[in-house]
Amino acid sequence: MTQPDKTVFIVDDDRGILSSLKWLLESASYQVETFSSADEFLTRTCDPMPVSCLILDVRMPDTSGLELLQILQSRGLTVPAIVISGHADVPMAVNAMKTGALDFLEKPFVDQDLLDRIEKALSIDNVNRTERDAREQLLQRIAKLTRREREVMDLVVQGKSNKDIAHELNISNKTVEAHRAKVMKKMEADSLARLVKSVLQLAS
Amino acid sequence: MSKIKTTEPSRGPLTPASETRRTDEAVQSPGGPATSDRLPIEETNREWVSLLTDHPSLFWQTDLDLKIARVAGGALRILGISEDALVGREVAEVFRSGPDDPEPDAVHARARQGEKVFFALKFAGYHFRATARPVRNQHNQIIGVAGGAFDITDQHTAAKAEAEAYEEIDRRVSERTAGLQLTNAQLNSELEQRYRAEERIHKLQTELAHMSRISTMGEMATTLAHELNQPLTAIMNYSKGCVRRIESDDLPQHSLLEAMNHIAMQAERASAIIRKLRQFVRKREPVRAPHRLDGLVAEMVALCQPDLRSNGIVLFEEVPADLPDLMVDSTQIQQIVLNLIRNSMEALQSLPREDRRIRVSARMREGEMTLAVEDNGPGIPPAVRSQIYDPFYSTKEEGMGLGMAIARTIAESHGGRLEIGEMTRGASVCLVLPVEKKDIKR
Repeated sequence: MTQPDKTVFIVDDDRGILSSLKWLLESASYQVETFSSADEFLTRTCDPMPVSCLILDVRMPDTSGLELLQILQSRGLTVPAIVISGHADVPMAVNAMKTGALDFLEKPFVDQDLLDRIEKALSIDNVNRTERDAREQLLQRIAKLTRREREVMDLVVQGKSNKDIAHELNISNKTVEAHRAKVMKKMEADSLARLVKSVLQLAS
Repeated sequence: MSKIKTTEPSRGPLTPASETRRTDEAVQSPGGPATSDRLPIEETNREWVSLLTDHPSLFWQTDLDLKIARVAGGALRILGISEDALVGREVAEVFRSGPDDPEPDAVHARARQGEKVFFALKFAGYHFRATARPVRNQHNQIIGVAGGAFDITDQHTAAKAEAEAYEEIDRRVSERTAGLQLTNAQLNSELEQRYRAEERIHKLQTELAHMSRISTMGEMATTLAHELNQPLTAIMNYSKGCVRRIESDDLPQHSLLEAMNHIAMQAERASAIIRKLRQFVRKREPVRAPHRLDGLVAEMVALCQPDLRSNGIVLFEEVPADLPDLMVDSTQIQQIVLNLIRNSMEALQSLPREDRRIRVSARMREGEMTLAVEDNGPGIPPAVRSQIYDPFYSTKEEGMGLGMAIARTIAESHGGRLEIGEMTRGASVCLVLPVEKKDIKR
């Protein structure tokens, strides 16, 4: 049972490592894509990105694993990365974690350790993705609001009453109510509480 | 002594003919012109006797028992021995023989048998050349032995002196020979000692080179561990992949075969690394054999490859395949190559990754092979340059500081040298090795 929606990207300059990791991960039903250099990975066009994680070797010619990680972050790509190394030492591990690696594994590793970390990484990516999707959706809904509706929503979220809003915006109570109903509909919120939660989430 | 023996019989002073003639002359000369009348026998005898007593000779006659019956001759008078002292005594008592000469009684016994014998004898400490012959009566029966002897002591002494002179020369020659032999033996032992000292130095150098190789390997341990971890990781991945597939009953035979082959390949890769390492670190006596420089260099570049890669260093290998073979110890020369490459790698740390370059090149120059290791690093500062060959001098934290010292020793033991080249940018170190004419193949 393959998981076509879950892909593991492996970047390592050692073909033996690449091919054997692919063999191992495929036995755990992951989709695997291999790259023998950071540059090769960077030129891959993946749109839309599937739920995925990254396995990176630290030591690579030209661009190292950690440098690749930094490049990805600068591009806003937040794929969870597991860094592997043939000669791990503490500073290297610390450096990897600081750079934003999800985890650090020393070669050779126990297969289950890697698989557990991949599973964790994928679930994190999945959560990230959900959150990102929700946020995206919310932003799209907000974009549909008119300027006046947006003003009304902001004041509603601040906990102001219809009367206060009417007074503040110098419009009638009825008009506030009409805007408020539009906001609830456009934001696809079935309650005031849900609306407030969505907007606060976006602000965080 | 031997001269006495070889004296020719014809020269013997007393042959019967000459006796007779002398007798005649002796008879004639005092008596003026020859007459038909002979001197009376008494007179003849007296003349004869006086002649004999004047001459430093000895005459004797023995009976059949070889006892002296009659004796005469000037020797008696000269030596002051009376006739009576000798008459009646056996010849064996009276005469002596030289160490190499027959006994007087044996000689007389032969004469008694009818033989005429020439021999040497000693009498009263003097040397005589003598004759002995049988004495017969009118019936031709042997009745005794007659003997005559002529003093040759002077000759003998001269011969003896000559022999002694020869002996002296022999002695001096053998003394001198012995002296020379002693000197020779001393020289040999000195040579032996020197040889042993050289052996010891040689052994120490071998040990030191071995230590340095181990030290280099120690410095490279991280890299080497990484090199070994790669195939080991791959093997673990492949096998675990197989296990999982078998467990989930999802392993077609051709996939299994492929995975197993991969495992075998990776295991071979790991063992090749270990093999090469052991070869390099192995302690053994240096053995010179013809080697191709490109092969020696390629193996060391391969050993450095992981470090080169992770440091982003580009290494240009420009060692032509058609260079003449070198008569060298492969491990030792590789030790130098590794050392120089690693020094360059170290020097390049201060450069941005994308600029790091090393060039390993070789060419023939004036009948010598020159292997140059160059980098575009900061170069060798003058302060370092003056100390570069000092043992235990190192710019590296983990370094033992023996690398260059040993490299130079190895180069020199191969009849070559190390040259630190001048470069406008970076460092250049050359290993120059002689190429024997017979080794030039192409």
